Parts: sequence; C-alpha cells; structure tokens
Amino acid sequence: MEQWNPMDVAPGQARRVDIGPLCLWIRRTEHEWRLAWAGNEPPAVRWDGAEAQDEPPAHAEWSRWAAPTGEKRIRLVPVLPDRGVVVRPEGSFRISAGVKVRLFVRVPIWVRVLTGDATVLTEVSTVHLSNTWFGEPDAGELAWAVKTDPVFAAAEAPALDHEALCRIDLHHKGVEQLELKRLFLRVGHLRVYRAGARLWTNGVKAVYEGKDKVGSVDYLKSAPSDASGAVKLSDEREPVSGVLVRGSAGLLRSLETERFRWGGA
Amino acid sequence: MFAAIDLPSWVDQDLAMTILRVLVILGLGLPLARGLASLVGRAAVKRLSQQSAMVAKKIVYYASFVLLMMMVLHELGFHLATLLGAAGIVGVALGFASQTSVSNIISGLFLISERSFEVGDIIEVNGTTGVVLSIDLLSAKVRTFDNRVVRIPNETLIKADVINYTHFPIRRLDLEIGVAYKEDIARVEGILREVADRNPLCLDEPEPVFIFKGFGDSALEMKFCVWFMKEDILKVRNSLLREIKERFDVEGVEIPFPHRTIYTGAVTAPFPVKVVEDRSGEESEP
Repeated sequence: MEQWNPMDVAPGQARRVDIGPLCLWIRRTEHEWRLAWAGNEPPAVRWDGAEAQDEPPAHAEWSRWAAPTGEKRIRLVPVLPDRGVVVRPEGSFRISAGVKVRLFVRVPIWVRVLTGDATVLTEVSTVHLSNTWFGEPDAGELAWAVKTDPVFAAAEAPALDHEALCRIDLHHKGVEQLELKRLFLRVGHLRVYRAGARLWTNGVKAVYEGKDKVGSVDYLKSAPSDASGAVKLSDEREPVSGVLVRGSAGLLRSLETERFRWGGA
Repeated sequence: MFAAIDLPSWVDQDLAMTILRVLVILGLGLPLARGLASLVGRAAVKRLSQQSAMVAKKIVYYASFVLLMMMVLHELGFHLATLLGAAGIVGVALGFASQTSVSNIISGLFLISERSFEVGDIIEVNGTTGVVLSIDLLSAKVRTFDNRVVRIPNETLIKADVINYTHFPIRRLDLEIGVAYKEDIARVEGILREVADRNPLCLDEPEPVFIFKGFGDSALEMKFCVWFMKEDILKVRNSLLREIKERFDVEGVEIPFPHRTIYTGAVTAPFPVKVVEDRSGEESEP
C-alpha cells in the first residue's frame, strides 16, 4: 500500500510502481514528467514480463508532460472508473423475497497520477475493462463491464492492490424471488478508502421493491464498519447532495437516492 | 429628425424622406434580425438539440425579416390589408408556378417535426451517405465522407428511404463468416465469442449473437453480430476482423475460398489424361 504515498523522483531518476497487473513507469527529466504503463491491455497484447523490468516494453509508449523546474514530488491516488460499472456475477445468484443481504463487490480501480501541486497528469486503468451497455438498445447508459462474483463476507474477497471492495446492503422488498443477473453501480458516487491492506469504497444501501418498481440506492458518506480505521484516499467524481426526505411508506429517499436498476435477461 | 435635413430643391422631399426611412429600417433592422436570431440560436443550443436550435434561429430570423418587409411596405405607402388580399391571389398563382419549391418547404416542415434525423446524424439516402450539415427551407445538406457536400431536396427526403446510422447510441455489426466443412461449429462459435470478449470496444451487453446460417457452396456459413457504440464503427470493424483472422490462423481454423471441381463424364472418375507421344527418351534441344 506504500504506492499511495507521495514519492520524489528527481530529474534523471525513474521509478516503477506495480499495482495489481498494472506496471507504471515514472521518469523525471529536466523539463518533463514521462509516464509509461503496461499490463492493463487486452489479453491479446498483454505484457507478460512478470519479472521487474526497469524499462517498459516496446509497445508501451511514453506519455510526456511539461514540468516546472524543481518539481519532483509525484503522487498516485486510487480512484474508481469514470463510468458506472455493471457487475455480472459469474453464476446464477438469487435472493428470496423479504430478505436483507449484505454483499461485497470488487471494483477495479484506476490510478490518478498527480504532481506535487495536485495537477492531474493522467488516469490509468489497472485492468483491461470492456465496454458494456446498461439498458435497452434504444436508450441506456455506457458502462464498464466487471465480471466478479459478489461475496457475502469481506474476508471471502481477496485483498488486491487494484480492487476496492464495495459493501452493498440490499433489502429485497419485492414479492418474487430476485435473480441477480446484473448490478449497475454508479461508482462516480463512490470514494476510495484505505483500511489495512485493502481498499474500500463508501457503503451503499439499496432497496429493491420489485420488477418495474422504483427502488432506491443510497450512497453513504463513510466507509463501512468493516473497514475499521479507514483513511480516505480520494473523493467521489460526482458528489451527491445529502438532503434527506422521508416518504410516507417509510422509504428513505434523498437527492442522493436514485433508481436502482436490476437488469433482467 | 428626418424633417430637419435640408435637401436641394430638385429632390422630392417626401420621397427622399421615405427612402431614407426605408434605408434606416433595413440598415438597422437586418443586422438586428441577424443578431437576434444568433442570440436565440446560442441560447437554444444550450437547452435544445443542435437541430432544434437551428430551427429556432431560422424562425426568429425569417419572422424578423417578414416584420421588416411589412414595415418597409408600410413606409412605401402600401396598405397591408390590401396587400395581404393581393398576396392571396398572387400566392395561388405562385403556388402553381413553384410547386416544387412549395413541396420542398412543406416537406422540410415535416422533416423537422418528424425528427427522423437531425443535424450531425449520419444518414444514407439514395446511395449517398454522410453527415447532415443542415436542414434548410428547401433542402438538406449532407457532407459525404470524402468531403463533398450533397444537396438533397426535402421532397426527396420525404419520399425516399432514409437510413439514420446514428439515431440510437449503440449499433450492431454483422459479420458474415465462412469456415471449412471440417471445422467444429461449436468451437468456432467459442473462438468468435472469445475474440469479441477480448475486444474492449465490443459491448459485453447486449451479448454478441451467433447464427449458423447453413451449408454454403464451399463453406459452413455463419453470422456473428457484435454491439458497439455508434462512434466506434470503424475501430470495431477493423480490429475485430483482424483479430478473428489472427485467431483463426492460430487455432488452425480454415477460411475456405470457393472450390471448383471439373468432371468429364462420370461424376467421380478422374479427369482423363492421355499421353499421345512419349518423348521422354529424346535429348533436349541445346
């Protein structure tokens, strides 16, 4: 986890940082910051140099940024992807009516590279993410596809450098059994925290009312209780207002509450 | 203000004043109309689509223009009521004389209200494909991909089949693929799905569609359809076809070309070759 601490790279020096499958090379010249990365490509062109290499592979081109003289501080910050993610469990996953479940979903992170004065140089995805569409062919939303299995306990999810764990408390208020095929998570509303060797997001509370009914999702403002001693590493991309209104049916609704969409076949 | 101007005696004072007023109306009015239309266009583009903003801008401009013309005619001493009555008669006459133009104008109104395509969409009409630059009073301007502008009369657009390639955010690319008869269809399907899965531009959902079409003349014919964001059409087509070819090469999947077998007489008998003169013993010419 020391990769999230600020580091100094003086002119003429270079650093390599590994975050999950992502290898990031940082080089400082007299007038530039140079970055190259590898390991997050589609499998067809994946760089498989597992051993540490000082130089990036040939296909990883250097990206260059003009840098003020004397600036040597650089900082990596874990952030969540720039679009919503559609989590697609690898197997059939059902939730009975009336049941409250707690799920933990692993979301791949992106790495934001900042200079000492908090200027963002770039953001790099740690893993290869595919486009996916959430909705109907004539209306919907572009998202990233994530194929991970939700688990029922945080301990069941491996603590990986390139993934943040999102705790979802789901109350199934519908009358029929819910087959969870897709879970659309607006990660733009989520922050990243560090707790021990694991990255966390703020918690999510969801209410599912039934098919074709409007449920709700509340993006909480803090890390879940599982992440004891959590330290915030990055803010959400799209902050949501926290004005709360209680409806007559007792459903907690707020401006940060939105329709929670559960995909069907 | 105008009465104060001192004119030579040979100039008709009233006429000069009228012309001056008309010039002032036009001189101030036309730039004002343009400015107002532009202002409305800029304000509308923030709230409405590009197409709607353009329509709003044109409505404001033409309305202002008509208003200016009415003011000019009034200055020139025309009575608007009489003029409008005459305009009805003239309109009928003009209508007969300019049926095509009127038809285009009315078609234009239908096109705008129907919104089957808008400025910025990619459409295909009668074999012409390009980006819609504008939908005007009489015609729509389309910029083709080799950078020509094609003017398509609105009437043609109403009558013809118009394909809008960018109406929806996502599209499907259908690839016709043929493999040799010896290949395992399930294995080929698996390979194709894997290639699409690894291509980041192919949408995971809607899922790719595999259709075994049948037994072709020289290949097992299949269709593989993948979904993508409409702006990625070229990237998806180029990358996917290349990746399928590369993967087929790696996996040893044969993409056959048409074979032709020539028979003479009996269907399965070999092609008869008869040696008419044995010259194998002869020495070759120097």
